[in-house]
Amino acid sequence: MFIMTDHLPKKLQEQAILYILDEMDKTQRNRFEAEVKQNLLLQNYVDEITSTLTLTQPIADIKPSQISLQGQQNILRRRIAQINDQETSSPSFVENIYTIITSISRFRQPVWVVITYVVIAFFAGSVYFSPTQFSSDNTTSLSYPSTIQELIQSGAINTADINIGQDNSPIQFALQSSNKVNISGTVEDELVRNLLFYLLLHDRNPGNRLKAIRLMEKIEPVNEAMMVMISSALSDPNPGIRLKSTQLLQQFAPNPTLIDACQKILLEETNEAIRMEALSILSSSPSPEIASTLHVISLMDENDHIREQATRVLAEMKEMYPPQRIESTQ
Amino acid sequence: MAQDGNTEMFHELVALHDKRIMILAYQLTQNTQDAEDLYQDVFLKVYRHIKSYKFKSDFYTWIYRITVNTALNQKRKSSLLPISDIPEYENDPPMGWVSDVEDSPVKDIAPDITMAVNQLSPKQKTVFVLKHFQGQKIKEIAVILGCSEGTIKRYLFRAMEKLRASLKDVYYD
Repeated sequence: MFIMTDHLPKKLQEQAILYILDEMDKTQRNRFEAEVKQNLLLQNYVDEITSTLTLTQPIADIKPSQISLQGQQNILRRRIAQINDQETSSPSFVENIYTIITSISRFRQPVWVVITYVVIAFFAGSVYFSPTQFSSDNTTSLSYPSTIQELIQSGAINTADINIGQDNSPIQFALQSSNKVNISGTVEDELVRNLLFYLLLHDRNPGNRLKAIRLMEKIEPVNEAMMVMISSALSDPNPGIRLKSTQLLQQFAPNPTLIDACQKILLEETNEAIRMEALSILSSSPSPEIASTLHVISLMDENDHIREQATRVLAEMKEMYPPQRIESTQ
Repeated sequence: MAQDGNTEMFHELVALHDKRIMILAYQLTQNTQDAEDLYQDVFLKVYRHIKSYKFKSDFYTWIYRITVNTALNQKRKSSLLPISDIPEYENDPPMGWVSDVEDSPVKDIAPDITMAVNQLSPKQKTVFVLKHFQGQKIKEIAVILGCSEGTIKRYLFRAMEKLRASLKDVYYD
């Protein structure tokens, strides 16, 4: 029999739900049960709610198997070990700043050496060495470079091309000036990594910079890579590259330099997607130090979602930290 | 102690509580992959913040709060990239999961039920799950979600009404 229980007064509907879900004290229960006996509509409503809850019960009965749980525990163990390793090997804030300065100064060569153009040109029939291989068309004028500085100072990087093969094949660079140099290797090779860092930070061709940042995805999350990505995320003129750099920063365990950079992006970046990525990094490990930035963002950001997300993270922090720790930073 | 940064103690703590958290994660997400991601996120957050845990509240309340907040955040993120609403749980539990009840009479309509639960708003679903599946009292849910009891009741009433309307056809068949 179908009875229009929808016509039951709201208050009685709510009482029925509280009764079934065991949220009434003894007096309320007795009073409600007396009411049910006299009210057919209410009886039917109670039956409907009871049936609804019974129907949903199978969802509550599903549980992970012991094997699946053990698998998740193992993954968690590995991730925590990784975090601990990164924390013990990550340098202090002062060391980080020093690294940034030295990495910048290392790339900033005198004007006559500074590379103004990196042009793509690949040489057919290159001879490759392993793991990092060089070949030169003019071997008498150029000894094989072993560091990025030597490449820059030798003027070898007047034109460059990056050729990316299949997943496991080497990355191939062709550098052309008075000396033609081919370099082939994988991201495990220091020179290849440094070349990618250099191209990401200095190449005028956004296509090359994009290739470089995409290849950097394969690099182990080491501190040096993080610094370069931060630099790119903060300063690349191309929003697509800034976005990709910020996305890649997600893989690093939060540390003071990364948190500072993400706050700067959140406050100054004009692109909403990039701000969202930065906020996502900060949200993954909210600390009281970012409360003031989040507070500003929760009020001022022009994007509704970012404002809401910042508010949510702030609320989450309030649950995790004593109020005075959060307020002292605001 | 796990709070002193003892990783082994932390893993013992995980082993004590993780089944309950994984079950809650599945009930909130209705998807094993999302539940496993949520499990990882929650315990990594617990690991990073365990020093800030004050023994003023029940440990479960604290960890439940982290779980539901993380789930709500994940839901918000995924709403930017719409995914299929087709429930993962059809007639049998997902791979690697088991059901306490063999041959449930409602086994055949499990997808309809999952779909109905998934149509609740994230907050309604969270309150419904905590109340009905996890057996929490409204007072406790209010603490977990940081809302008043009145607000929790409103979410609960709306959730029950939506479910009753969605499943009416099922139980009158």
